[in-house]
Amino acid sequence: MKRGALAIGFLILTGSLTLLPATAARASWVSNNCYVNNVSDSHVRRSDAKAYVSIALDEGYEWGGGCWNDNDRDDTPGQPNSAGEGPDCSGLTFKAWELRSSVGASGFIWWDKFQNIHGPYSSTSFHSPQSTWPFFKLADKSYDTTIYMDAFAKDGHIGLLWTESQPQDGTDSIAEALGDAWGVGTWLESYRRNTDYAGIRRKDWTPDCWPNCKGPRSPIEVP
Amino acid sequence: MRRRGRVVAVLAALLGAGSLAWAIPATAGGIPLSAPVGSIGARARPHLGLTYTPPVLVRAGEPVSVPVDAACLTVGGTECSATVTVAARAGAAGWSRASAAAGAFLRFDLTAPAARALEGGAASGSVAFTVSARAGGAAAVALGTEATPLRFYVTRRMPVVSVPAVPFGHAAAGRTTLYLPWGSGPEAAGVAIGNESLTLGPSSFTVDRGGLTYVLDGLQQRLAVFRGSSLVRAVGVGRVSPDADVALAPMGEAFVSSSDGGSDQRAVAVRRVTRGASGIDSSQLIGHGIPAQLDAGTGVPRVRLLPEDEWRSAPSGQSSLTVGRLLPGGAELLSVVRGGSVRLGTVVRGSVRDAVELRFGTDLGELALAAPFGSNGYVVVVHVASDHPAADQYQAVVVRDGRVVSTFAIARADYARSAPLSRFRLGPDGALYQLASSSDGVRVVRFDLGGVA
Repeated sequence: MKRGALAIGFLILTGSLTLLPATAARASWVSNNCYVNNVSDSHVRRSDAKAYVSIALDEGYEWGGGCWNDNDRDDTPGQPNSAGEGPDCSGLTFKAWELRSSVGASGFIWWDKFQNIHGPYSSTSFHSPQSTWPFFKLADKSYDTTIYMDAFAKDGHIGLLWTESQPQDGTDSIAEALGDAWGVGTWLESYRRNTDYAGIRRKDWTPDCWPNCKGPRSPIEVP
Repeated sequence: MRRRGRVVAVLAALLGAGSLAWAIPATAGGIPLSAPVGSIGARARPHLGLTYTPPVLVRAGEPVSVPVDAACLTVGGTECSATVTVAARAGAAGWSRASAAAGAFLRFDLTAPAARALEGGAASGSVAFTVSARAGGAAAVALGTEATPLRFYVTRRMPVVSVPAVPFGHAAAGRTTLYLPWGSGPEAAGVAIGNESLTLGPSSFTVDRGGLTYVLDGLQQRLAVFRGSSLVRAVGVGRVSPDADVALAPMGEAFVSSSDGGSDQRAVAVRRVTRGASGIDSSQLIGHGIPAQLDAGTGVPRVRLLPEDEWRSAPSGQSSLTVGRLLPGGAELLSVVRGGSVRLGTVVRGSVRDAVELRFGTDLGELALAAPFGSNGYVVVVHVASDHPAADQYQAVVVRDGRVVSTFAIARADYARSAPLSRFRLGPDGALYQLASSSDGVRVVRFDLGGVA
């Protein structure tokens, strides 16, 4: 974890994190498959973020990574640190939330899934954001407070709340990059009452109802 | 948004005929659609994701609101429109329905069907219901069908029992019955250290009548059986998922459930581990979805799968859905946690018995264990927490005849992730067992429940 944070910090300082280079002597999966493609975005909704993450499900995991395809398998299994396929947990959150690549910058950028970018934030920085950053710590993690595509973050890991629905057992469905063995997926987790985790929210979402907002929806009565 | 659409279109063109790379499987919500995953026709359809919050057990006269979260995504990963329908049937009336445009934050009010469930003065009853969504391109998903519906129960009698709080930091010590250091080999437990990811360890465990402890050590691809900390035998189980679970049948057969991926369309299968030999049966497909728990207490393995959030067995699929866990003898254990309460009840021939609401002084996390305990009793383990100051622990509660018989706290010990609902087991000896982990290894810790079983 410390190694990860230090390495990411170094990359931030050198300004080289926007596109991780292929460092392996031989051609890496990233160098063979990934390219730069991004665009400033606006009116980004939580539903857009969820749709984006849905493409990443079942893809690989790569420490410090951020490039994946959509074939529902890990193309570089057993290679978590070799410019292979997939994001790590904080890289997935960075791209899903359309954060900008400079620390603390506001606004949204849509990143192509094929762009190998991790972003400047580790799970530790998501867990303890500065007030000027484009995400903040929630006052609590109750069901009344959290909304899907909020995150639960601790020092070492972060996952995205996948749905508002609550199973009968009180767990949450979390979209997360779980590690090299299992890549990106949705898993039942118990982060909500685990005080290692903080609830984190991206700022400035556009409401899901946009552009046809008509006020709160009333419950639909089943006669 | 429009710019993003253009980018997707350009990249799709660049990929040319490789449209499969952009497609999303057309199965969702745990129910395979007509076309198999992987066929071009199926993958070209929108993806429909559908989840809901099950009521499980409600008190007569309460409003019954069912949140439904429906997401329709195109093959390019953008939103599409869909319609959600909830149908319900209770008492002698036929099915009634209501529909709305899909989206997050939908709520369906099933108060009227819940009232009909008690028509004629019945003490308890149930509401059958289904949740379905349909989008363009004939994509559809259904949770329950009219032939095999989802269900919740309504009861007139559900006394409230206040559970005393246990101060944070006052956890019971327990007694370690098994210790395995991290590592590889027969008497070690596999671990994958997280690095911007979770640290993973054994996903599940259980204990049997003979005092043996079964540890599902997925990173060493084995189900290891120990007496004390000595290995008795180990059976290779191959690659199992981080939510893999193990359960024992009454005659001692071990079953292992595992899934094949991390999407909400994953296939979940169960295998029987051959007792006393190094072997494992071929797998039986239970269904598609996110596995929450495995149980084999009736002798037949059953898995609670999301998003239906109901128990099912192989190979009959939905034909045997139950909202509660089946108990030997045919009864069904209902359990649900909402806010600061845990509701429990037992369904016997369609009627709810011994319903009780345990009310805690704080909002709750996961219900890590719920089980019958002696006559008219239950034992639960639930995750409790305080935001200010930040602290959390598990609280075990034994309740019988409408009163708390015993309660104590157990420290959270999850250095390595195990499946959230596989951290506690009620042993055949009436004791509570915890799968605990720390930086040096994994332990199974026994807690005496006071001999009240």
